[in-house]
Amino acid sequence: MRFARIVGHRFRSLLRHSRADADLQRELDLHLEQLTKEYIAAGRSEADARAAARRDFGSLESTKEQCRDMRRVTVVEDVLKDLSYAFRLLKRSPGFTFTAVGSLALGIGANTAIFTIVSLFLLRPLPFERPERLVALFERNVIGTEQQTSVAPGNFLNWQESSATFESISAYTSQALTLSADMPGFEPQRVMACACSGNLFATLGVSPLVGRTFRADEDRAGAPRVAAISYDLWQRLFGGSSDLLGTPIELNDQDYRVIAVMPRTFAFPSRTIEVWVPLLTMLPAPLQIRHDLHFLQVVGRMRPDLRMERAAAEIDSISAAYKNAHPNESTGKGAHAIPLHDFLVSNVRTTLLVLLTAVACVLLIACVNLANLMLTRAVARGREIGIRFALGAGRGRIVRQLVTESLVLGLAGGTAGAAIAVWMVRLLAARAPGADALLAPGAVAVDPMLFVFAFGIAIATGIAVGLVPAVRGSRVAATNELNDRTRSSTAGSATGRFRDALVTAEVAMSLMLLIAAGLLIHSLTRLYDVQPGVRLDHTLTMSVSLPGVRYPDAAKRSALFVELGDRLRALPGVTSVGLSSCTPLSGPCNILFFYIEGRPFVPGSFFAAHERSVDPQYFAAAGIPLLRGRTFSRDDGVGFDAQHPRIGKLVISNAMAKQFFADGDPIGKRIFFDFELQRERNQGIPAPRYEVIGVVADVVPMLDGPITPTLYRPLLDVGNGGASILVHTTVEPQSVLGGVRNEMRQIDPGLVIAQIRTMEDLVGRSTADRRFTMLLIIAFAALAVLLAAIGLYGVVSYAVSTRTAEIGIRMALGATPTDVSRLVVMQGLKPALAGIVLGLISAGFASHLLRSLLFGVTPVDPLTFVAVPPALLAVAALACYMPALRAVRLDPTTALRAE
Amino acid sequence: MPKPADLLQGTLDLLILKTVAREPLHGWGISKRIQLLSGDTLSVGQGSLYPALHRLEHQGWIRAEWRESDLGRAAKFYTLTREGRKQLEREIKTWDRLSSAVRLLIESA
Repeated sequence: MRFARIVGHRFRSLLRHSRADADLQRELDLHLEQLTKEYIAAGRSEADARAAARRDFGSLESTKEQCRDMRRVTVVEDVLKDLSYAFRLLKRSPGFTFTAVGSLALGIGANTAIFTIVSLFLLRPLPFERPERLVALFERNVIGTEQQTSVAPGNFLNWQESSATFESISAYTSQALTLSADMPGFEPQRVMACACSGNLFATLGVSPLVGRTFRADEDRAGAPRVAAISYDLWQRLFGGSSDLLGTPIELNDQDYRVIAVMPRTFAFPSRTIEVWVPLLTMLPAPLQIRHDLHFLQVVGRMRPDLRMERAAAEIDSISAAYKNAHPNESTGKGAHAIPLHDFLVSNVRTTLLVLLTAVACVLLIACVNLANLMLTRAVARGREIGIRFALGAGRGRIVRQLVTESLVLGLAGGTAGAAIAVWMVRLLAARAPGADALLAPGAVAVDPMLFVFAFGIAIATGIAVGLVPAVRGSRVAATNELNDRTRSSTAGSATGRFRDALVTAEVAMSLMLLIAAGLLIHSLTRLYDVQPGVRLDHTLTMSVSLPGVRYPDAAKRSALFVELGDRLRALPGVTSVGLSSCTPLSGPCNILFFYIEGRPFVPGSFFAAHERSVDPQYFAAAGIPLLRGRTFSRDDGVGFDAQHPRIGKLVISNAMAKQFFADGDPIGKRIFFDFELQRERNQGIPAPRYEVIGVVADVVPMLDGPITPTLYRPLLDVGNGGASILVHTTVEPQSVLGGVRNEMRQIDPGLVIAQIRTMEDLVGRSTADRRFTMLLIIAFAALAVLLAAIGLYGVVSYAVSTRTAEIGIRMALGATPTDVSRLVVMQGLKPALAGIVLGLISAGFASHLLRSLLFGVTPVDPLTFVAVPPALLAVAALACYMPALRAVRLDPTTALRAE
Repeated sequence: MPKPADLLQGTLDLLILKTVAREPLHGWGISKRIQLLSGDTLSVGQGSLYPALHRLEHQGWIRAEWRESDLGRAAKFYTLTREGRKQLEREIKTWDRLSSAVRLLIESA
C-alpha cells in the first residue's frame, strides 16, 4: 500500500513535474502571504511588511530547490535535464564539439585497436594445451657467437632420443611444394608446407578436426607418405567434403594420402601453411645425420614443474656427451631455451610496445586537450555558473552538470572511437608485422571486450576531463565571479598557469612522438641508401622447383639448369639470366663449415661462412662485380663423380677474402668442407678440395643485415631440387614473364614457378614491416601535433578574448600591431618552448626503447634531435599567430568598450 | 522574545509527525502550531520545514491534499498515514531513550 503510494507519488513528480512545481510555488506563496499579513497586523505598511516577510523567509528559490531535492527521482530528472542542456550547449558550439569528439574518437579508436592487437599477440596465451610448458629450442654458439641458430637435424635427433626433461620434442621447417591431385579441373599449384616431426600435434596438444594425427611409424624415411591439410585448403580444393580422408594427392610428384584436416584456428608455425607432412619422409637420409646444416625449428613440451634452465642444461650435457663420443665431428654445443610464446612474438614485441606507448600518448594528449578546452569554457562560463549559484544550485549539482557535458562528449567520442577501432583492427590484423605467424585466419574477430574497453576509456576520460574544470569552475565563489567580471583586464593567474602547464605537457608528448617518427624515417632512408651489392632495376626473380622423381641426380638437374638458362637468355628483351640456390636479399641462405688447406689442422675448429650456389651467368645477371680472378665456367661444375675426388672451384666474397686470406692473394688457395670430411670418415668417400678462383664484391644477405663472409659454389655441381632465377631485362621486367612461362612449359610442363617478383618489389617487401610501423608512428605523431596545436590555439584565443580591453588600451596608447602580436605570440610560445625542452629531455631517455627498430641511426640521432624541435616550434608559432592576428585587427574603441 | 532554540538533528520529523497526528494541517499551520505548543521555545524555519514535509511525503509517512482552509483559500493539507503513525511511535521511543539518557548524564555527571 505504502509502496504503491510512494511509486505513484514518484511517478507523478517525475512525469508531471511542472504541475508539482506550480503546487510548490502555491504552497510557499501561501506561507509568505501569511507572514506578510502578520506584519501588517503588527502595524507595518504593506510594502514594509512584504519586504520583512521576504527577509524572514530567506531564499525562496533555495527552499524550492531543496524541496525538489527531497524527491529522490530528481536524480533521473536532473540527468535528463543535464543531458538536454548538454546537447543544447554542444550544438551551439559545433567547432568545439567537433574538435573534442574528433580528438577523443581518434585517441580512443587508436588505443582500442592497438590494445586489441597487443592482447592478441602478447597477452593471450597461445591456443595450445598448457602453453606455458612449451619452449622453443635453438642451438647456440654455432659460429662462435652466442647468437641463436636453427637446429641441425643430427643434433635434433640426438636431443629427441636422449632428453628426459621433455614429454615430447618436435622439429619443423617450412617450404613451398607443388600440390597436384588427380581430380577433374585441378590445376597444380604451389602451397606452403610444414615438414614436421610426427609428434608435433601431440607436443602442441592439438587434435585434428577430421581424421587422425601422424603415427610414430609414419615419421620415418621410406614410410608410406601421409599429409594433414589446413581447413582453408579443405574448403577451397575439396569443398569441405567429409569423405576426403585417404584421398591421394601429389606433393612435388610424390604420392601422399590425406589423413587429417586441422581446425580452422590452427596456424602453426604460420597461417600461410596449408599442408603438414612428417619430417623424416621429406629429409633425404644423408641430411638426417648432418650436424652442420641448421634449418630446423624445435619446440618441446616440458614435463610439469620443471624450469626452463633445466632443459637447456640437459641439452648442453647431451651435446657434450655426444662430442666426447665423436671428438672429430662438428656437433652442437648446446641449446638456448625460451618460452615458445616469447619466441613467436620476439619480432613484434618492441614494435607493439612502441605503438602502444605512442597511442597512449595520443589519447593522453586528446584528454589534456579536452580538459583544456573544457577548462577554458568553464572559465568563460564563470558568469553563468555564478548566476546558478546565486539562484540556489548546490556545488554538487553544478559539478554534475559539467561532468554530464564531458560524459556526453566522452561517450560520443567512445562510439565513434569504437567504429574507428573496428576498422583499424581489421587493417592491423591483416597487415601488422608478425600477423602471419601469430593470427590464425578467422581468429581475428573483433572482441566484445574491445567495446567494453573503448567505453571504459571514454567514460573514464569523460569523468576525469569533466571533473577538473568542474571542481575548479564551481569553486569560484558566486559573488566573486559576479563582481569580478565588471573590468577584467588580465586573465586569472591560477587557471592561466594550469592551462599553460597542460599546453606544456601536450607539446612535450607531441615532441617525443615526432622524435620517434623522425628516428624511424631516418632509419628507413638509411635502409634505402644501403648499397645491396646486387642490381635492383630491370630484374625479375622467381623460384622454380624440379619434380624430384624426374631429376634424381646432379647430372639431370645440371642439364636442366643449363637448358633453362640458355632458352631464357634467348628471349627478346632479356640481357642475362642467372640461377642460384637462394634469391638475393632474402636472408642468409646456408652456413658451411670449412678448413683451409695448408693451415694447422685441428679437427672441430673450423671456420664458418654463408654459402650460395650459383651458375656461371649469375654474377653478370645480378650485377655483382668481379674483383679478382675469374667467375665460374660451365666446365667448373659438370660431370662431377662422387667416387673420384678432384678439385672443385669456389668464388668468394670480398669480406671472406679479407677475413680469412688477409695475408695474401686468396686466388689458388684451397679449402675443404667439414661435412665432406665427416663423410670421408663415415663412408670412405674422400673429401674434395675446393680452389678459390675469383673474388667478387660483397652482397648484403638482407637489406638490414650486416655483410657476412660468403662463398659461392657451382650450382651445376651441387644444385638440388630447385633454384632461384634472376632475369635481367632491357624492357619492363614483368613483360617477359609470358615468354618465360612458355619456355618453361616447353622444357617440362611439370616445372612450377612461384614467387615471381621484381627485385624492387622484393626490396619493398623486405622493408614493408618497417614502413608500416613508421607510417603508423607518423600518423600518431601528426595527430598529436595537430591536437597540441589546437590546444595551444584555444588557450591563446581565449587569452586574447579576455585581454581585449587591455589590448585596446595598449593600442590607444600607441602600441603598434607588431607590438601587440609579439605580446600575444610570446605569451603562447612560453609554455610551448617549455614543452619542447621537456620533450627533448624525455625523448633523449625514451628513444632507447626504439633501439631495435632503428637502422643506421643512434637513438639520440643528432639530425632528428636538431631538425624536429624547430618544426614543432613553427607549428606552435602558427597556432599562436592566428589569434594574434585577430588581436591586431581590433579597433581600439570597440576593444575598450568590450564587456 | 528569546531566540528560539535550534532544533536537535532528527527531531524535526518527530515534531511534524506529532503535530499532524491530531488533525490535518497545512505548512503554515504546522509551523504556528509548533511555535504555540512549545511556548515559543521552538521555531521551525520555512527553509527546513518545507523540504522536510516533502521528504516525509516522499517516504509515505504523510499524505498531502489540496482543500479549502481557514486562510481563505485552498492550501496543501498534510495528513498522517498509517505507516506515518508507526514511524511516529518509533520516533517517540527513540526520543524517550535519548532524552532520558541525556538527563541521566546531566544528573550523574
